[in-house]
Amino acid sequence: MMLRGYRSGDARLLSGPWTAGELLGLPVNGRPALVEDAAVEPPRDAAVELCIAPGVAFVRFSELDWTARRARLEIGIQPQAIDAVAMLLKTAVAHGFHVLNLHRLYGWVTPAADPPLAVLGDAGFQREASVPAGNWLDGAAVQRQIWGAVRRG
Amino acid sequence: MTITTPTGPPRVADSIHQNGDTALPEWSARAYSDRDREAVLEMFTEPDFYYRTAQPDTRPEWEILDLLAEDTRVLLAHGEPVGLYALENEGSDHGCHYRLDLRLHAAAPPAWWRGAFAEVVRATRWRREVVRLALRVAEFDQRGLAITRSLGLTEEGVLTDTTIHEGRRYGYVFFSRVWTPAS
Repeated sequence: MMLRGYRSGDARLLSGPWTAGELLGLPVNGRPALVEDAAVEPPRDAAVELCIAPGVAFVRFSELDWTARRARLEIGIQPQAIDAVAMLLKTAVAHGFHVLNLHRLYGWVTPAADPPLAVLGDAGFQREASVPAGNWLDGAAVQRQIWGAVRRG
Repeated sequence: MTITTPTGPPRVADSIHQNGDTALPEWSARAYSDRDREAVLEMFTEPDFYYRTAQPDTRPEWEILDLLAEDTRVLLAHGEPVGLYALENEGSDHGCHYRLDLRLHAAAPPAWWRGAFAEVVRATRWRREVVRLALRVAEFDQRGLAITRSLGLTEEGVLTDTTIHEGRRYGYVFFSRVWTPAS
C-alpha cells in the first residue's frame, strides 16, 4: 500500500462515519443514521502531514514536535475499505518512522467504539494511559486511552 | 449519507401511499449543498413551511439560502429530501443546551415528524451530552404546534407578541425536554 500527498480531488476521503480524532477511524456499530460524519480539514501548511491512501483513507500526522520527533496519528478509513486497516496502519507507521524520521507516534483510542486492538498491537502500539470520561459516545461519557508506538532501531 | 439499493429507493410519495401514516422511512441526512437547491426551494413554496421564517412562500432565493446558513441539514426519507433541521448551541458551550429547528414538507405525515424528531435526538445524544433541548413554534403555526405537542415535551409558555403574521401579532410557544446531567 502506498501513501501520497493530498490533492483537492481527495476531499471525500477526509470525512466518514468515525468517532472524531481516533487513532483508527472506523465505522462504529449502532451509530444512528443522522449522526454527522467526522471530518478533518485539508492540509494548508506544515502544521500537519496529511497523506492519502488513494480511494481508501487519509493518514494524518499532527501535533508535530520536530525536537522530540513525535506526532499524533489519526487515520480515517472509508467503510468499504476496512479490510485494509492492518496494512494501512503498518504503512502509516513506516511513513512516520522512515519518511518523517519520527521517534514516537501516538493516538487516541475509545474502547467503547470497539476498535481492533490486536491490529494496533501488531503495528507496534501499546496502551500507555487510560483517561476516565475522556470521550462521549452512545449517550455517555466513556473512557479513552492513549496508545503509542516507539521506533526501535 | 445517501441510501442506495440495487433496485433503487422507493419514491417518498409511493411510501406514503403504500404504508399509510405510521410506517417510518429509512432516514438519512446531509449538509445542504447545491444538489439539494431545487428540492429545498420547492419546500419554501409551501405557505406553512415555517423553517426559520414566518413568510416562507414569499421569501426570495437569496433569503432562503441565508436562512439555511451553515448549520442546516437536509433530511432524507428513502434518499429523497423531505425536510430540514438544524441544531444550535444555546448559551455557553459547556451548558449542553441546544435549540432544534425541524420542519418536514406538507406531504410528510405526522408520524414521520415524530420519527424524524426521535432520530435527530438519538443521533445528537449519541455524540454529545444534551441536558436541555428546546424548540420554538409560532402561535400561528397550527401544524407545527399540533405535532410538537405530540412529542412528549414540556410546554413552557409563550413569549408573546414577538412576530407579525397576516396582519396580527403572535408569540412563540416554548417547548423543551431536559435530561439529567451526566455529572
